[in-house]
Amino acid sequence: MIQEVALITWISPLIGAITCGLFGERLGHKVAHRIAISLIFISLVGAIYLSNLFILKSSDPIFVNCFTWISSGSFKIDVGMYLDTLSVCMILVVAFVSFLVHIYSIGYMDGDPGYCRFFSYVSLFTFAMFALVGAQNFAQLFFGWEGVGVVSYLLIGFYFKKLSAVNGGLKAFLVNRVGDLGLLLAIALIFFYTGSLDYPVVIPMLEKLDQDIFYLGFMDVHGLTLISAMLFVAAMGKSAQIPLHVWLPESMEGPTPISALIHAATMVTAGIFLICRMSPIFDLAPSILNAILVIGSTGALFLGLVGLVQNDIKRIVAYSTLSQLGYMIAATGASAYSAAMFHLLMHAFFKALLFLCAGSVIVAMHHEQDIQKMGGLRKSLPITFTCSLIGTLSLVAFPFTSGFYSKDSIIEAVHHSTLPAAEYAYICLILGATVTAIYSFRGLFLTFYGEKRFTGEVHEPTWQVTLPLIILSIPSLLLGYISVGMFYVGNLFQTVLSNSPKANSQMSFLANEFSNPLISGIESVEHLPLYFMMAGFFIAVFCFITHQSYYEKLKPYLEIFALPLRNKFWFDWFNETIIVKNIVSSSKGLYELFDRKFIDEGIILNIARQSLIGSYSLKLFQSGYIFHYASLIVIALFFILIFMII
Amino acid sequence: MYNYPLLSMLILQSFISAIWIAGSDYQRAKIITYTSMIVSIIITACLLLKFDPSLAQMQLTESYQWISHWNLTLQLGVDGISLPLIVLTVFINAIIITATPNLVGQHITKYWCVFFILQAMVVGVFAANNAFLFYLFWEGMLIPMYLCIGIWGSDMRSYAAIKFFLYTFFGSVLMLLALIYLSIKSGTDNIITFYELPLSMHEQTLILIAFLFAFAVKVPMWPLHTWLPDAHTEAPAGGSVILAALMLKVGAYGYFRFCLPVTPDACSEYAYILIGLSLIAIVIIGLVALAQTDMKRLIAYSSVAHMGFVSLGCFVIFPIFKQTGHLPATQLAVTGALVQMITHAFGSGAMFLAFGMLYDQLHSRLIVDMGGIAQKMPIFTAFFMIFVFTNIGVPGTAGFVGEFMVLISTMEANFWVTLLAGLTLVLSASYSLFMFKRVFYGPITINHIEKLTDITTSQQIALWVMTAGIFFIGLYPQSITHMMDPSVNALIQASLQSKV
Repeated sequence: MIQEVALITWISPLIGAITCGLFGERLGHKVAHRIAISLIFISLVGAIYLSNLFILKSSDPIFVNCFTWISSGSFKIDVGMYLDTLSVCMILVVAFVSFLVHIYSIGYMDGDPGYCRFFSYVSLFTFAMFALVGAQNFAQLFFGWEGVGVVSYLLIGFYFKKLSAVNGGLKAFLVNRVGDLGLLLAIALIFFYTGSLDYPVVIPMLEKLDQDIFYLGFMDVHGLTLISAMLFVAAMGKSAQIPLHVWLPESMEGPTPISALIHAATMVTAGIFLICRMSPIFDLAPSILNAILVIGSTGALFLGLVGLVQNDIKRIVAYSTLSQLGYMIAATGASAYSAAMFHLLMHAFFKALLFLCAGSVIVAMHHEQDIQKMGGLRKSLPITFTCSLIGTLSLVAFPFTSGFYSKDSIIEAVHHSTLPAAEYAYICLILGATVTAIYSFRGLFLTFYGEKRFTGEVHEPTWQVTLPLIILSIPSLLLGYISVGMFYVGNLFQTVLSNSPKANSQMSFLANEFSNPLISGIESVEHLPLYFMMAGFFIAVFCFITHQSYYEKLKPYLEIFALPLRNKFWFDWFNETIIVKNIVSSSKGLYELFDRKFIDEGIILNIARQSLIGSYSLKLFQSGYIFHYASLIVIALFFILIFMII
Repeated sequence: MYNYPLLSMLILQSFISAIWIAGSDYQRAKIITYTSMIVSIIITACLLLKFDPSLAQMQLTESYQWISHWNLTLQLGVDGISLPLIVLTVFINAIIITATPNLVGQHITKYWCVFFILQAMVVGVFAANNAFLFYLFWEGMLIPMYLCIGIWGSDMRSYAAIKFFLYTFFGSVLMLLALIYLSIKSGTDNIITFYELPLSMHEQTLILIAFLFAFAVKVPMWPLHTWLPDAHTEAPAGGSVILAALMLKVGAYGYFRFCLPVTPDACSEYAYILIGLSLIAIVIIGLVALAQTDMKRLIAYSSVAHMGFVSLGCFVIFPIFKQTGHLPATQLAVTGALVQMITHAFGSGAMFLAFGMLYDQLHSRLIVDMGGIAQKMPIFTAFFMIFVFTNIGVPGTAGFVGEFMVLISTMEANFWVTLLAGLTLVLSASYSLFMFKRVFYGPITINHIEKLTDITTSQQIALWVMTAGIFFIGLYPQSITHMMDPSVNALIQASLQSKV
């Protein structure tokens, strides 16, 4: 039974994708989306069944084998679904958000010429994401990893007439490929050490290699550190960590539903998932954990700061995603893998909610995305406003919301960590709480409060758009309160995540802190994060609601601080003018000077030319005139005679 | 079931139909072409059925006395390395003779004739078991290809055709010397007997150099690759497909059939030079591809870059064995290289085929003359996108399998080799998708793009077949590798034993 359910759950989105992609236009939009949605619904039911078994009844992990991809000598790779608490949690969230996004898209994508193409891509994405989280070996992981990247590329460039969208997709794919290179190197290293790619074989074997030294040619490195570093590069690409984060803001060129599904809830968290999967290895590489802490927390603070100066409603949410991903990465750096996973799951709900709300506003505003041209929408969009408010409260970690339990546990865990980088990380994360509150409430206030800064009527979109918002509000608000005990006290991922002393100490610390969700909610008044968050909230209220005129006067003085933010800390400038330009010019040089001029002209054609010249000079000896030949004979005889005499 | 001489039937059948087609008018030629194509496919299917994948040695062997005075025989046979390539040859040729005649326009019967001769020659190269037959087919292959570029090519066709011919002929002559030397030394020209021949290091080095000139030109290996962009650009659609899908494989096949088992010590000695050349092909040629303004030339350079993985997987087994003594990893590398040979046909070959269809309407190869084609040719764009994805090695498509196997096995040799070869992940994505973006996406700015119409049903069928191949191999590579395994094992055993 489990076998069948797992496979049906996995395969049915693929069937939906193929049907919509090939026959969608012929079947008509209505039939196409019905097929896609019912197949996703089957997946959702399957996912619920599986989570009942694996999360609530905590069955043992099993591998559902589908077929053998390749078996050549000792190199054997099976394709199938690996079911344990970690993968089932991910499957459930992916299926749930994907289902809602499918419904939402009926309203959002209505009348688009690429309607069927869109549903096909989204279903295909769901399939690839299932392959990623349900992989039992690194080859299938890589399949899912690249698969979601490809679909993400296709969806960012969905409006392919628009050059900015196409460029955004290209950028996302290329930056992700840099990360994929890291993953590939990690896979090759793991294969080098263990001769296998299956998780259950690989992880125990690697744990025994703690003392192993890998020879890099000019230096020796700790083998597991190298593997972890490469895995982290992979995670940096997918989960958009500095300096590979540049693609995520650009990805907002895609349709909003996929920003919610791919660039907030599921795909971008794949890096965190990967780190958690391999957490026993990371725990043996403390230097990498420090690097993870620094990079994660830096992203959490500084990329959040960039969100302060954005005016595009989707980009604000995108930078907030970057910042939240930083929090999750920082949690893995502090060995609080459960906290990272917990925040990942909660974030999936409230960030998907915020994106879908943004989409709802965009639809209502007739595809206007600039928040400076909005304002006062609270009255005309009551459902969207309420849901946005819930999402925002959860995002800023207001006590008792889902985001509070997950984010607070990350900050506490980083505080509790003993790594050298932990103090820096703690400061970043706690300041990040203020920043989060400022940009979130700024977006909320400018959109929904104040006076109308546009002309025309707006009204709430169709029920297909608003229903998913309402459904998503429920877990955004309550799920954290309900499930925090299961994650920490119940230690849901005990068998999957690292059991090193470091991770166990974090786990017992968190279980102690969050033993009672009600009390820990009330006790938050004793902790710093709440005050930092409230500070941010009051700053936003001051600037954008009560004392707008003061803020306007203050603005020119703030401009100097805003400069690096407006330029996004010059990452794009660096990539475009230093990296891309040099690669392009060197490739031109290699082609024109080296390949054409030197090899082809200089060597190959030169040989041809020289032999032609040689043949011309030889031709002189065969002029056809008797007296030439006669004189040659005489000269030759003369030389022969001299030669014989000597 | 009788033991029909299937291999010679396949070769002769192609030859006879080629001659018959040449003497017929269009209508009859068409009937002969299609019948002969179906017969070829049936014979190939019988080959697959009769082939026992669990054996390592040559199977379905045939031997005929040729010139008894010199003890010359004609020997044919296949093993797990050559059979998949024969299947590929018949498959690609079937696609070319059905899908591309409309694209060349004139002398269609001659066109079919040329491709049947080519099929006979290429199958002959893969099936030949003695050196002189091998050489015969090897050189015979040049003539139809030369004609193909010279007759149906575009503006610079005669330059490209002569360059192609002289370049490849030059290398072959050196190979002939090596083959004669080996035949005299062993007393017979059977290739298998060369494997057991004891050769000194000095002899091996000279023989390897001679072989390399022939094979490295064909593959092509940097820096002997400059004939390829010209030949590809000027050749007609069918010619480019054959070049990419089959002609290059013949060179790589030579590595496995001759270089590795005949001169193992020399290969081992110079392995790092050869690996270095492969890495240059992957990285430098990948960068060169980025600078192309001619779409067909870009595909040609990407084809060279991907062939780098074949030579990498081939020669990396020596450092792997030297450093770790792991046989499984060497097997992975060689199998990966062989799979890459097959899948390359579905990446570059399919792109050239698709490009031929575009060129038919557009009559320009320059990327600046394109843009926004996706709006006018959505179905074609979808197909081309799949071909681009297999070219950049997205898992699930054919292009991934070979590269992945080679890449993860190279780690046993050296971290930096893997890193440099792995750069292809970024480079191939850059040049392929950058090209794809400029050609298919964006707004339409050029008038003649407006006039484009989507591909016809028959063209769609050809591309569907290619697509099916791409996903079949990508999702179930076991179908090819299970045939190869025993032969690869035997090859590695032969290659890793010192002969000195």
